[in-house]
Amino acid sequence: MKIRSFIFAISVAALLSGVAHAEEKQKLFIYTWDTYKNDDLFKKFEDETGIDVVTDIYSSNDALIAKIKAGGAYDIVMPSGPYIPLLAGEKLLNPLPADLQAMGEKMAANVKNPGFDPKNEFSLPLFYGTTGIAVNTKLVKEDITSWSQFFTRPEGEKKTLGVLDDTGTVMDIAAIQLGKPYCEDNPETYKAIQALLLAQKPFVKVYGATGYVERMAANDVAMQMAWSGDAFLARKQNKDIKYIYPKEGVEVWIDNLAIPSTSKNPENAKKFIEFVLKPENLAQYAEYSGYVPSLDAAKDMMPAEIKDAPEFNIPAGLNAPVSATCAPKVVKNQQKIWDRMLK
Amino acid sequence: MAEADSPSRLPGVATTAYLSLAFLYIPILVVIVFSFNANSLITVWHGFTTDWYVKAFENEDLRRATLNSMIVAAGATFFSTIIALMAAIGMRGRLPRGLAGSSQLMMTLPLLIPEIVIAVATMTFFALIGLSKLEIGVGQVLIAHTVFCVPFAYSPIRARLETLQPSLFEAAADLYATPWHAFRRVTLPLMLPGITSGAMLAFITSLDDFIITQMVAPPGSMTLPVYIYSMVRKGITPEINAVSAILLVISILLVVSSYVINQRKAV
Amino acid sequence: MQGIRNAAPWLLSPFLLVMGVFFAAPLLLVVGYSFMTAHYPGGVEFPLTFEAYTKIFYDTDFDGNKVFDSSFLLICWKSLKLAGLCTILCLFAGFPMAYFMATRPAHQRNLWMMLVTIPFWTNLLIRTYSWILILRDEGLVNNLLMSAGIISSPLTLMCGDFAVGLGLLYSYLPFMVLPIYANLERMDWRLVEAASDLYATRWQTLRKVTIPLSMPGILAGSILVFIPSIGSFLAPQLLGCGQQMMLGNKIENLFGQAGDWPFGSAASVALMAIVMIGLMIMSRRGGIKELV
Repeated sequence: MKIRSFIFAISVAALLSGVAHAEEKQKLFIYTWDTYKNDDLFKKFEDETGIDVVTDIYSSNDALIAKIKAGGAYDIVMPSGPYIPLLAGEKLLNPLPADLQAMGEKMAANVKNPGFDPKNEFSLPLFYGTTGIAVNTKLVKEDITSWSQFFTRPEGEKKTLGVLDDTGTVMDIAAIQLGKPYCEDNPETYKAIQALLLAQKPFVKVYGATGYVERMAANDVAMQMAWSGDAFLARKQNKDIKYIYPKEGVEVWIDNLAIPSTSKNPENAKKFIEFVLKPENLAQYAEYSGYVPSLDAAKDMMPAEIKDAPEFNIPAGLNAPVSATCAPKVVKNQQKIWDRMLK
Repeated sequence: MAEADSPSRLPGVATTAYLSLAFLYIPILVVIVFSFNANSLITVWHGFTTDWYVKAFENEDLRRATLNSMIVAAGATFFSTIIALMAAIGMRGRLPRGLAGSSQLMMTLPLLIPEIVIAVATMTFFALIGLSKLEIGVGQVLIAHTVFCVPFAYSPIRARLETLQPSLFEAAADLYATPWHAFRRVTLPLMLPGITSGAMLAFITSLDDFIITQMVAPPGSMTLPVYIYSMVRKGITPEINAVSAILLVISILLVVSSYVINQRKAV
Repeated sequence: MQGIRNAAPWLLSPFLLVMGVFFAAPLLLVVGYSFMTAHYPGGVEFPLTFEAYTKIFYDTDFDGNKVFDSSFLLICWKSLKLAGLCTILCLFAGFPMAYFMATRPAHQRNLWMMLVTIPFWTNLLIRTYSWILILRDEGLVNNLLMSAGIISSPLTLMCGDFAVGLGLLYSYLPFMVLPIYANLERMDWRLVEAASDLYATRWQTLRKVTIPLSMPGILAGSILVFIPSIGSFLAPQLLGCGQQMMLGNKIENLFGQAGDWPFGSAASVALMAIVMIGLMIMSRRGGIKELV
């Protein structure tokens, strides 16, 4: 008796859910970085278009690739520049519709026709930022102006440094410090980078980006290799944090909007991109994430104290190469350097 | 049994026991206590507030993650308990040679193989068979959870089954009960404490799982632990503690209930 | 029961089906992937090769030569070391605790059982990250010590072997306590009294009577602690701050950032092999009964 009524209940539930499914709202699945999850902005999009937004978070570009490859049906993803050719090559991205591609022309000079996607076939720049040093002025008394102060510390000093664990970023910075180009496939360069990182290791307290904004704000590290937006967020919580552009240069990177090939709602994705790239929306988004918007019009709309903040302005004339896609062989070697260093 | 002069009393044992117990509970208490902290930088106490709980309840992603967790846990519990019940009864019957042994092995294997290996294996398998094309959403996580919940449901069920005397079933058969009838009227009611216990263990196990869910979850089907981890990545706030505290309290209530039920109906 | 006895294989079939398809098959797939070639940034492709397994021992250096590379082996060694340390610590804390529990009057024993089991069933992620709050530079321990004036600058407790070891000890302590307790509870305590009647000191009794009799429980507990802690993921990840590469993290890294699925699969196979070997060694010495 109990079994029969149970089966009945299940069938009713199934029927009801089928009905509910038919009346379901339009959906948009976003897969993005934690600092790009701007609930207020997404709500505005929901109100304007009636499309329900569901956001999941990834912590690295590689996690993004793995999820899409495993069939994750997201509609919007926000990969960093170097990964666009990778994703496109794996047939994981849909080409953008022509009118979206045309928006590429309106982009700011720093991000226009980027090396990884010159014609904006697959991506449109969303934000760009730099990788520099976030210095805790309460814990560090000296004036920090150079990467060498970050890579070589006086002998016997305690572990106070924070380094990111994104191998691409770390390798780019090491290359800048050594005065080499990015992604150089040269055994001597690899060895030099390896030596540089190994020399730094005894002074590094933490390798990783997990919770590092909070770490910076909690005075856990004295100097942190940081992405500009995260430094901005840390500075909001802790006035002692200062973002420094070392004199050798900084890595510039661009995060982009793209539509995966697994997307089930490409039209909603298009609407989202158009929405986000409206200057007033992009301005709100940039304020939230701490990164520089890809449209100058958006940057002009931001409040003065943010617009003029150090994290939003690269000093003129500074060496600031945009990160590039390294050949698979180079990536393998970089991973090797990293593994050996961590050993 | 261990009065002051008893030979079984050993010095230092009581202290170690109490210290270890405190050790086990400190992190739980820290999470709960600091979820009421009015300061955002969590380990500096600033004042009592329930604001973070309010914030947690208003958090739409959190609500979605909780709903997903509940659906997956309920579904996985349902299926894994049924499978485990059938398996437990089946194991006591007549089986071809070797089947009992290998089934027992398959039952314990998920407990011994590291979760990370199960996680990557399941992820690659689902990717290979293109499970995401079926668009079952949370169902994908449900399947993965059912698999590793079976051994957890099995243990109390099997333990309970072994306490039942065969004479009961013989008596039922003597009274002209069909096997199905005997099962429904005799076995099932007697097994209920074990089944309930097993179901609760399965539920908690599913609710707790992190690494397998993270690797297997399709879009929008994030569960509570995965959500908490993504927030921990950003930096631990009292809001996370509030969410965690709620989850902890639910688990504790379930364990205590499971215990009480199992104790009471001991035959 | 007769009808049910005959229906036994049929009753087992859902279990076998579900486990076969969704547990055994994925594991076999991983074994299969370990023999394929890596496709960056993720996935596998033919041809079949042993290359992933050679990466356990060898690596090509920057000049293109194949050299012996100990990094993976070091990770294995570190995992075994930390797991072993964890097991020993669990024994030192767990045995007395189980002993204490077993020597309580009956009604108290159930309460203790419940108290020890509760943390075990609550979310491990939450309990692990809580240790970050306790151990970090501006965390609970340092705050307490500094406000009590015992230290003037914070102790670095996080991100090292200490934190990871503590995390592991924390995660697995109940696994040691419960089997030993189960064993001790069933022990005939009159033997202890008899030993005392024969003028044995407490320590002699412990050494010559109690411990030998509780060996099955000790072994079961050791298995239950050692085996899972080798492949532990959360404690090294959260408390090791990205520096404590144990096998669990290494595998996750290989399937994620490094995008080398065959090597990740080979590492998984290696981990499973270590687990199996450990199990076989310990089951030889008895104690498996306590497990199931």
